[in-house]
Amino acid sequence: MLAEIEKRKNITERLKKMLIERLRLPLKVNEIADDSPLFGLGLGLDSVDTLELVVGIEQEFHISVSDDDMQIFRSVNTVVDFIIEKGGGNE
Amino acid sequence: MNSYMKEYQVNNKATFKKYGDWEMPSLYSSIEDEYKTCREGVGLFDMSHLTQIAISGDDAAEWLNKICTGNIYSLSVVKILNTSVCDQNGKLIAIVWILQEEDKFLLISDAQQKSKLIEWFNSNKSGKVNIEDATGTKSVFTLIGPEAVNVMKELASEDVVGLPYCGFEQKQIEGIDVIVSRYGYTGEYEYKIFVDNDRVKNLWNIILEKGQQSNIKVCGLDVMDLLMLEMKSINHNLDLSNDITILQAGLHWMIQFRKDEFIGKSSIEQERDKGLLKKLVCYIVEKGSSVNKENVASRDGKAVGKVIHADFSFTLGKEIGLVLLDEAVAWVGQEFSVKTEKGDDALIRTVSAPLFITKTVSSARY
Repeated sequence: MLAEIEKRKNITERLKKMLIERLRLPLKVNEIADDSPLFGLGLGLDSVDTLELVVGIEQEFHISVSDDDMQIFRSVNTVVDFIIEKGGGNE
Repeated sequence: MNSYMKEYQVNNKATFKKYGDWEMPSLYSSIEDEYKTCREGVGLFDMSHLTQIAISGDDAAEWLNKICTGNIYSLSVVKILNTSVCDQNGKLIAIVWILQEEDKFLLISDAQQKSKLIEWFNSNKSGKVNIEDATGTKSVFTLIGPEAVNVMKELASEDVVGLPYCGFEQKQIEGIDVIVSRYGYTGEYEYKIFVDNDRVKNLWNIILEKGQQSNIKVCGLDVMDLLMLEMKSINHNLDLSNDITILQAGLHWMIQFRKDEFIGKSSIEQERDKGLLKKLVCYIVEKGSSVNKENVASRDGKAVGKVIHADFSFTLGKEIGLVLLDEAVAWVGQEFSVKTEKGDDALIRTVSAPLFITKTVSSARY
């Protein structure tokens, strides 16, 4: 259980750092809640940001993201779920 | 206080509850029926009880920017900001939506927060600011559901689909002047229509008539709790006791951390920098049943949290809820045992929010 938590913590932090850097968000890692919505409310990302998000995930976690996959990207946590499911974050 | 639609509500056998000073319909048919209406079709709600506070004056923007945790200057005319009002200790006073009109800001919140908000605003007023309780000066109808956009197109023409989320505009619906706004918490299309009270019954009937093609149904307010919970949209009245902070609730995005000042800033920053002691996380019940609010969540015989909100999701076919957990274990994918009031041991598993993709999002038209 602890190992699972550590793995999830690690991926979550890496994802948040990637979002902040790639999308130039004026935020620190501890200013983004894990269930923060990505679009609309929350981080307020738009369709252009989505492309950056996809490229960032693929590069950071060495997994591929299809157009269909993007629909499940609703919050930081749902993106982390996807990364774990695809075997990312195991480096 | 009662809505101008009270007679209709009574004639249509609504059950009523108190929401702040107002008596409003909580249910017409059943929670399951009204839930399915909102997740598959379109529900029509009377939300005229919402707190409406008009803020105007030369210093209104500057003052609001200090009172709220969000960035008022991110607003422009016809945009809406979802933010919070906190006290000096960073404790939440209310979650608010702020609409910037030409000559004023209109602040919307739950009916139950009105007295607290007005009292807080008046005791922290400074500069040239006018604060007016505008609750009830306009009635408010809300359309919720994947079909809500189709009903709006019938009411206010095709170009209403260009209204972005967190936007609003003046419209006419069969000659009736209204403000149509698009914001909400349920994960479905959600349009709030503000109308002068002397046109309320006309507008209600027009909406029902135009909504027939989309099988519109009138709904009570009770179902909102479940619709919001499934999206982890925090319900101030149900989810936030005095003990749960805005950061523990995961509402970081309502805060503009880079602002020079706002009430509660230093306390919120301290908590952010020290690290959260607890976090609110969604769960589903994997085994057992009848998990309820206040039930203790444990791991290896040790209490690590408490259930804050418990309900049943008709979409998932499972009991769901929110649990406040010690930070060390407050992560998605973890299991905890919960002793129910029956004495049984239920098993809950923490999950990501939102709990599923809604029909509105999966069709993703506008």
